[in-house]
Amino acid sequence: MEFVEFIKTPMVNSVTLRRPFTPDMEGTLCVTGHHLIISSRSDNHEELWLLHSNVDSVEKKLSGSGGTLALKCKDFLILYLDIPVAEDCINVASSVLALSNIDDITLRYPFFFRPMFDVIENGWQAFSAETEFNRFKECQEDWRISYVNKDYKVCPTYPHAVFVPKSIEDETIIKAATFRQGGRFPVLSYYHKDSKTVMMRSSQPLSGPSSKRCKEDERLVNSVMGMGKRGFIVDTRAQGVAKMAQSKGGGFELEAHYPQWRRIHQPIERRTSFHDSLIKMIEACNDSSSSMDKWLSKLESSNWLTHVKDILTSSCVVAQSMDKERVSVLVHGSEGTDTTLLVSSLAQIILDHDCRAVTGLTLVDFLLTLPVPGLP
Amino acid sequence: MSSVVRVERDFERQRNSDLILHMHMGQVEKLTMTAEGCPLLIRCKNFLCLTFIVPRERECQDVYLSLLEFSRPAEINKLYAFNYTSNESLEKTHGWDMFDLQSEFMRMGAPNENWVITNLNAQYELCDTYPSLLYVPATATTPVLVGSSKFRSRGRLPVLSYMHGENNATLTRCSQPLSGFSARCVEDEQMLQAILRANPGSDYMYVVDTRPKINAMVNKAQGKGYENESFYSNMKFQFLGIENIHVMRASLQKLIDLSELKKPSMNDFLNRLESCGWLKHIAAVIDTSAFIARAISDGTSVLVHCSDGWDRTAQTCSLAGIMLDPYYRTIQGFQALIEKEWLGFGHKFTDRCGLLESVEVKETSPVFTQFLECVWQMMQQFPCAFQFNERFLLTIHDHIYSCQFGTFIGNCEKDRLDLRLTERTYSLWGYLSLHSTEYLNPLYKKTYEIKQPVIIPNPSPQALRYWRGMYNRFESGIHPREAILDIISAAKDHSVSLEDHVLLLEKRVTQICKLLGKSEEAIQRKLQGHVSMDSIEGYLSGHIGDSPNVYTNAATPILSNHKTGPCDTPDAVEMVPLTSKGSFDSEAQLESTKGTSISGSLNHIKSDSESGFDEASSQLSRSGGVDELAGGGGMSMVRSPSSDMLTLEQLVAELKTVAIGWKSFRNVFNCSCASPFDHYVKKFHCWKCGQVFCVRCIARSIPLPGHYHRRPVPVCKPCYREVRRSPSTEFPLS
Repeated sequence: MEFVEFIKTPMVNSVTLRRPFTPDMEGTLCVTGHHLIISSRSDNHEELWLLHSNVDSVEKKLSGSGGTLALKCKDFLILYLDIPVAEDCINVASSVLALSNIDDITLRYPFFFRPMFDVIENGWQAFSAETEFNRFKECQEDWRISYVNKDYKVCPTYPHAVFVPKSIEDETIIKAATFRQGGRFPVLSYYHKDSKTVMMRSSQPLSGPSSKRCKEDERLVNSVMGMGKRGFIVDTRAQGVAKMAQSKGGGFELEAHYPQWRRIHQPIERRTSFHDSLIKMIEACNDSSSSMDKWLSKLESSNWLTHVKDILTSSCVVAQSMDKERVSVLVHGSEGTDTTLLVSSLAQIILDHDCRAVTGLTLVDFLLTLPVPGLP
Repeated sequence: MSSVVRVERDFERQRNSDLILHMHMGQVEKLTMTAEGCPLLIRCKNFLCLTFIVPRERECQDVYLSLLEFSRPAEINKLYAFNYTSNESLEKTHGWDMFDLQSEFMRMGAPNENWVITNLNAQYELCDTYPSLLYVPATATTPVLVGSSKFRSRGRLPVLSYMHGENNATLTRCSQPLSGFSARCVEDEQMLQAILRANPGSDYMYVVDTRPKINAMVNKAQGKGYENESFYSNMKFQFLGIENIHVMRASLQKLIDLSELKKPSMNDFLNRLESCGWLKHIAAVIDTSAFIARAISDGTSVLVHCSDGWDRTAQTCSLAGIMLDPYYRTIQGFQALIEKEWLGFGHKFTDRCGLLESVEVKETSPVFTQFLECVWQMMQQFPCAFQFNERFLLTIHDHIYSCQFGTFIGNCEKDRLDLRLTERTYSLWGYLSLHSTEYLNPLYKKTYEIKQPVIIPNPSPQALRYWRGMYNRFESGIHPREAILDIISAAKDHSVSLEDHVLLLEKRVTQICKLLGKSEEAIQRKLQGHVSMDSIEGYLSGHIGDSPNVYTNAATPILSNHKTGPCDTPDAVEMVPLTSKGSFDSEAQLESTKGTSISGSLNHIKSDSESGFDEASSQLSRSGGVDELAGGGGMSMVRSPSSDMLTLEQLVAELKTVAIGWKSFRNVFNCSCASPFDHYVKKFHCWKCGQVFCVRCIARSIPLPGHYHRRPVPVCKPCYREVRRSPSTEFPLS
């Protein structure tokens, strides 16, 4: 097996494991193909199994004859391993680094994982576009399932079946998709029974600096509106950001061409700043030596809670527009994959009591409209 | 002069009128005139903030002046407690004798061979802010005690505050020594040695000065200060930086400004939370208390003092007590703790709460609020360790300031005796015991006492939270829409009610089966749900059909009664097809079995009711009821039809007295008496009708005939009257 190449030192003795807010533990460290195992080997046998793929970063610091490994994991676990021999330390570090970044996706853990329990239900069949559509019975007069994307050609990141307005033919959709970034044309995301309004999602229109327009896209978006009805386009970017996107070929819907829609900007930061913010927050959370003042100012400067608040605010705006003001909503940011996803799924959780049940939550469109699962 | 002002609120979405105690008003401010009128801002000590728009400026000025006067009376006898009369069934004497120091120390095991009671302070001549009874080391002689007292600020000599049962380590408290730059006192040194020797398990002890060292040094210049280490042997001196009352007062003011922000941004909120320093101070208090608790649980005695030994010392000693002793985490024990550390050892409630006009601002400080918050923080970290809930802390906090009860009036035990509070005012402890059902924590695990008697909270900043329940209590929008703890306690009560009801139903089913001649074993199996229903069906239909003689008398009038009678119940209606055809095949039919059985068992129940029917009879049938049952069955055959009809009504009534479904708390915004429920108000279920009520509408408890054990359970007023009137019950009136 290829894994062996990466594992230079399979076992190290008398390693000390340190974790914030937890007593230290001494034991033996083992490196296997998919796991890092630390076992205390004492009477009350504490054992920690860590998946390599869970490791986000490996930092090693050599001091004297030994060294310390700092493993920061994707589930926010932070581990420090004091390894007595420097060579072992270097070997373990390089093994974990290599094993946590294997390129060949078929070597990853899911392909090796064998459940210890009896599989009762086939989870792969649990959710399908068709059953999902049945939940929205009431809107079947105006909407249909389209298989225009069955070969994933129109939009590689959409599922094979999507919900579109009944009055729009597949050819129109194909053309409209060319006007949206990544081909993510407007599709139905949620139908709200109480107010008979819909939430759609898409990516930004590619209007560009010259404010191009696309008849098919306009037809698709406008067809949702009946006579005299109005809708909101909730853009998850600040107005300035949306304008800037124009110079790079993106943009926003001009109200002249989408007369029944009003554009609202609900600024949420871009994905990249979430990441920085998360790193800062995790660091603050795991600093067990910080004083109250330091903790609060670190928490503040991480901006994490500000982002959370922004996302919730935007979702509430969408939910309230649909429920209280009884208007349909189209949500998009830039690519239509990150902030759009956050806002549209949270709005559903706010509006629909089914989405707050265990099976309902899995339904909320994370898997259905995410890029191919598994790609980083 | 009414102590309560009735006011219209300026925002209409809220309740139309509200009662605010004058005593709760902290600050009253007149703001600048606007087009609508003159705004009057009232900040209450329980963190309610209101603005009234008074149309005319002159009226506003009048209101303003009278509020200023009422909220801080000039003399102590004008406080609300001396006017207040309870409209509940609360006696003035109730609660005053619930706690006394002597029994509390007895519980800890004092006096013993190391610790004795001294009467030196019987007339408060040694120290007027201490209780009359003091517990001191047995080896400390009178001259030592007197000498030590003279050397301590305000005579507050080291005395016993808590003794740890497991290792005899003790917590003692005092005030700062009058050491200045060079003074020493041999008696005081002997006193500390005596305290050390009173704990034979340890050869050193801690002297904890809760102040930052710099503050202690400043005090030296005034002839006070801290102990000179070289004069006291085997002592470890420790400074722990809790700031003084002035810093705390300023910090709270900033915290209030923060809590009043309208829609702050996240960064603004965190920024202000940091700069107000409140949580930092909370962390310092918890940290210090945890230090003390750890030392004592390790077997080392600790002497705690600050400046005067009644603010920071009271906070840390009582918190250490809560960490060490599970008793102080119960409702009863927490009150005993307050009675001992705060009321007994003289926390200046009247001054710190600013109750009187004469109290200077620099004397006020939220010391007790801080203590309550520390307890709350511990409750967040150990949710199953406390018998009481957040509401209990908030209620106590309210009444510290409300002056509705005499408990917290005065600055020390002597003050309270002089004011004759026990005769003239009500006790908060009495009120709390009357309302104790509101304060129970449904997660409380009694086993905590044994499994983990000592709980040490984590003072790290990540573990502490902002207490919105206190500081934003009246902003309903930011609290959880459903109070989880209340839902859990309702669910617990509900299942208790249903289980008790099931016991009664089983008893009735057993009685009926016996009448039908089923064997004990078959009955048991049937109750377990194992028996095949066919056999019963066959038996029942056969039996009822074959031997009408036995049952006609009983059953016929009942059935006819129910076809026409007004009190049709599902049970009774089901009965009709059953007796003729009888089809038992599903779980749902169990209910109807009951119905059938009822018709048969009436005979017995009649006899049951004649023999008293409640407590006595249920006791009987639980123990030696079997013979009695058989006899009852025989006896009933001679009953006349008319009396059997009465019995049926009783039985139907019995089954109807227990609500099977309880209404959910969700979307219940008002009690039937129109009083609104907010996040803070506890909602109650009537155990009889299952509806939701406020505490005033559910004030009574009565045993329900539908419960096997017949314990008094809370019911609403209409249900109470109904149960009392009902013919089947002969309960003593409560």
